[in-house]
Amino acid sequence: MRELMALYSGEVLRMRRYNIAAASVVVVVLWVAVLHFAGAGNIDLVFPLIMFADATLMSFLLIGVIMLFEKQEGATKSMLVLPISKAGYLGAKIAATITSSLLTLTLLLIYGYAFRDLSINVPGIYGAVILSAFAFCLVGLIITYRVRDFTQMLMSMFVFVLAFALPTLLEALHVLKGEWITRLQYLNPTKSALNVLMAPTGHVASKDVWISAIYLAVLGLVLGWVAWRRFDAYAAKEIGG
Amino acid sequence: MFEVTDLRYKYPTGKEDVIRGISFAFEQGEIFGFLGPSGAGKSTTQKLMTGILKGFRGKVRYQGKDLGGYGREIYRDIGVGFEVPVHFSKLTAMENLGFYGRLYPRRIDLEPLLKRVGLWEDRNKRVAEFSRGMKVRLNFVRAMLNDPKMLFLDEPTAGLDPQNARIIKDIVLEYRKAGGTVFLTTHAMHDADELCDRVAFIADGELREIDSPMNLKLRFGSRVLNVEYRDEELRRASFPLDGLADNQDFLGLLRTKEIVTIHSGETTLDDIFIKVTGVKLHA
Repeated sequence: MRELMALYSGEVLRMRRYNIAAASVVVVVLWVAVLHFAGAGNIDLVFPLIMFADATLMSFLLIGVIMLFEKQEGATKSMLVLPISKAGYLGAKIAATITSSLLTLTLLLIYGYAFRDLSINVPGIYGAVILSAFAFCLVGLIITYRVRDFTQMLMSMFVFVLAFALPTLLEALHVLKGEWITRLQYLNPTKSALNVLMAPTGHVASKDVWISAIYLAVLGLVLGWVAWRRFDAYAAKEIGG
Repeated sequence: MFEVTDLRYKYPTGKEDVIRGISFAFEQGEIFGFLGPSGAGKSTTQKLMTGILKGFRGKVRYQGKDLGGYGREIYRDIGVGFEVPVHFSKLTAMENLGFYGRLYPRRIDLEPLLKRVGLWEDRNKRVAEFSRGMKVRLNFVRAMLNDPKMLFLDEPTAGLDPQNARIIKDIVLEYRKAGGTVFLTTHAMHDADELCDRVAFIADGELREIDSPMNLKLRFGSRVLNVEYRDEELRRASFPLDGLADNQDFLGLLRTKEIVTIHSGETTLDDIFIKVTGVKLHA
């Protein structure tokens, strides 16, 4: 635990110094603007959609940025000769990424409750953000093992959005319809994330929420195992192998 | 301290071995130089010995135990100095060292070492503002941070001016005197000559020679004295070192001619390396 805390505090310090935290704050301001211009009505249904974008795509991107800064400066080499576990190294990055999403959520909740009469299950949305950010930052982490730079990272994210987020959006807009698409969407992590994030509003069937939550948790654990297993090959590549 | 036997390694993406059955050993308190041109296998061997690269064939034993039997705890005992800068550039030197230091159970008092390498005044500057030489010195401090028993150094003086290179070399020699062991990877033959108790020459993944610098020079050098003297024009003569005191030609030359230079015929590690491996170091 001491090791994890030391690594985590290092990640948070670097997020501040590399302006990653500042960029996150800018994104929060943008989300506040979206909420502000979302109309005079209740924002209960818009709020989870914003958190959906933050906890999924931003988590994917954020952990990639953290890893790429470290790679580009050669600091990964120095990390690899520390007496720390793989789990500690990866866990600290995941925890720092989730922290960023939780900070965004907290600031948006403050805005929502103070200015927009938001009414949402607060513990529920915190749980949903943690679960979604956990699964999606692991997707980002595994993809970062394979990319060389920010451009490749952004391209990977673009492909990911096309493959997973677009079907969810098209289904929500009723462009894609039918029983088969509903069933197929149970395997889509972005749909699962949307389900668990909408759950605190009470607008998703509880069966769907449970299936999505269990799917995201299992997916997160499987991806965590994959990230752990592939770390040695990534380390060998980074160290010059 | 370390025993390497018939070490072979092929990179996962490579077609053939880059390390081809090398064997060597060194003891505690020894500075062991590993010399060779770029791409010879020096850094790969170091990475295998530090457990960063896995999947080798042969044996690597550290303090009598197979390297595979150690977990990450081995990094409590060893310090690794990289040739290239490995720091977070937007953190200060102290923030970098503080972060790494918190992950070791044992660490040195940074102030004396930072003062000695000339970084104390700049400790609160961002590493991005450091010169290349300052980053190299910070790499060295990072390697010494955990008060290691065994130090792996990769080109520790590359990019340093002679004064700072001297400071680093003095610290390495003091470290050895205090019982520390050093595996020095370099293609700077002068450093190796000055620091190492023994050196190994590697080329194309194979070890070509292991011995002390002095023994190598004796074995590969000529036992002659080369004299340059002026006799209307500049002339050269060589005399065997054996029986020099009774060599009348040599003594006559000393008495009658204007001597310009006198050098013993011992060779340099550079020349020996070229002779042994057929590879030019700075080619």
